[in-house]
Amino acid sequence: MKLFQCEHLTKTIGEFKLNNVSFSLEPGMILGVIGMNGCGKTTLLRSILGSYRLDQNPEDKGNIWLNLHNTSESNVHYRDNIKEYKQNIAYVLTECPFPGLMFAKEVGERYGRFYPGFDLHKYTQLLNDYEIPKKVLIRSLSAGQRIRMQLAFALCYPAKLYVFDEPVGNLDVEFRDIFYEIVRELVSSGNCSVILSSHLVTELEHIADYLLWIEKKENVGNTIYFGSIDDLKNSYRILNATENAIQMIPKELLAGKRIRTNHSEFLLRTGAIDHSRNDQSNGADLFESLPKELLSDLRYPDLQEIMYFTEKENLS
Amino acid sequence: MREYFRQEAITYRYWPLKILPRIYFDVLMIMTPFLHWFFILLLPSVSYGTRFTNEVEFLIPYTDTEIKRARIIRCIIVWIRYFILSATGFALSFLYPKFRPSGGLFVRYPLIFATYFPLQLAMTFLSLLESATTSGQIKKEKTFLDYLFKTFPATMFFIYGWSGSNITQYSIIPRGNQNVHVLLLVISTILLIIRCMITYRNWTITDYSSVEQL
Repeated sequence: MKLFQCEHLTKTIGEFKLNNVSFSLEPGMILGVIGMNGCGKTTLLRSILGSYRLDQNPEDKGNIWLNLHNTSESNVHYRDNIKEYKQNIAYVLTECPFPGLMFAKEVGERYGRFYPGFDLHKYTQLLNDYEIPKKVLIRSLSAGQRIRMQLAFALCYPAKLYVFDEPVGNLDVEFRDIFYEIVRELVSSGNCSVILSSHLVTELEHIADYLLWIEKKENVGNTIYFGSIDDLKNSYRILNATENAIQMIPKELLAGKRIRTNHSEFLLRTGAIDHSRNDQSNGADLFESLPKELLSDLRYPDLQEIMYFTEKENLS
Repeated sequence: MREYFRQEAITYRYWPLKILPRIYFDVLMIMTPFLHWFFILLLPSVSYGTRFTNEVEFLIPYTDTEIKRARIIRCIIVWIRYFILSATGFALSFLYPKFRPSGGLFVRYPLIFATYFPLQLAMTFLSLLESATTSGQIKKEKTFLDYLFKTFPATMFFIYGWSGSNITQYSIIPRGNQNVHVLLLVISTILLIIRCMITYRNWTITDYSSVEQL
């Protein structure tokens, strides 16, 4: 049973268009959202949260729903019942959504009542635990403290979906570790899921199960990959070789390259499926096509390398 | 009031065609304190509902109807505060009539402005104070357009409002100079209409991306 479904989400802001994004989440799943700056990650998350409305044109069939009680009857649709839908989503955003001229404690008192089951006592306790000063205006808090305060707020009501928009960039190393631990605990119950966008791809790789990769081309953001991180990594290999090795690599298997004087790296697709393009390039298989002397130089890439090589190749 | 109308009737009883526009204008004078309250108090508070908008207002679990209702309630609260402030000013002008400006046009106007602007400043300050306790951001509060569309018409209507409260022996408008006042009133009204249109546009916002683009 799916916990969250996003179908054909489209959102236009000025000249930028986030185009036709679809994905789903099962309970207990952590979805990482990656992409270059301006590709539409925040637009996607804000659209899911409801602060951006889905495009309203008649041809747009975009739909989002959240499953509350693990039955097909308990789906709450964004377009039909936005209130109940929002009550079950918690959020931590890069830009603090709360008024800058309020105190942290006031946030809980003022906005907590909109969320059924909000525990004000727990909120106050978490503010203490996270060392958020009580007599300092939100706008005077550091970026990291604002993230901690939002996290405290998000953890104080029973949400089905947690949306974290680049929360870790401003956190110190110690609290970043605490944050990841909290995320793991949240999903361990199997009652909720997490969507987490981040530029810290290496860290994301260790915590996320699935990945949504958005690419921006000519002011349009498109999904280029949605699936498990392991599948994505299995689809590629890094070849460490000299620059001349490029002549031995079938063109359709070459996904990216980093040429250096003494040592070059090539990102190679292992098989027929090009995940980054969602198409099928028939025929070639890495392990059959590559000369045997090069096979020993192959290694698994990490997520950051896949992203780096692919985006770089697209830019060139 | 009765004496005023009696004097008007005596003055113009032989020329009914002249008295009608005169009465109309004087009625307008009497009404302007209310117009003042209506425009100056209502408009800033209405636009307030969206001018100080934080993203959380779009995130909290509200339907569109509930968002609008919440904005209305907040506007009413602000409105009441403005109302008390303004009513106090008017009450003072009645209680201490000797402080009302007298003399020619060029003496009266600077006096009115000198009296009015501290009041306007106080209102602005209270508005900022209110924003501090509710919705926060004040960075967009005072722009040139704000002054053009809010403060200038507000000043004009305040002058007319004061005139309306001094319709007897202290009438602020010298006879024979009314074209200037009518012109100012027309300009103020046009600016207020434009402001109403902007306010209406702000009211309809339900998407945070529209706020970001403002």
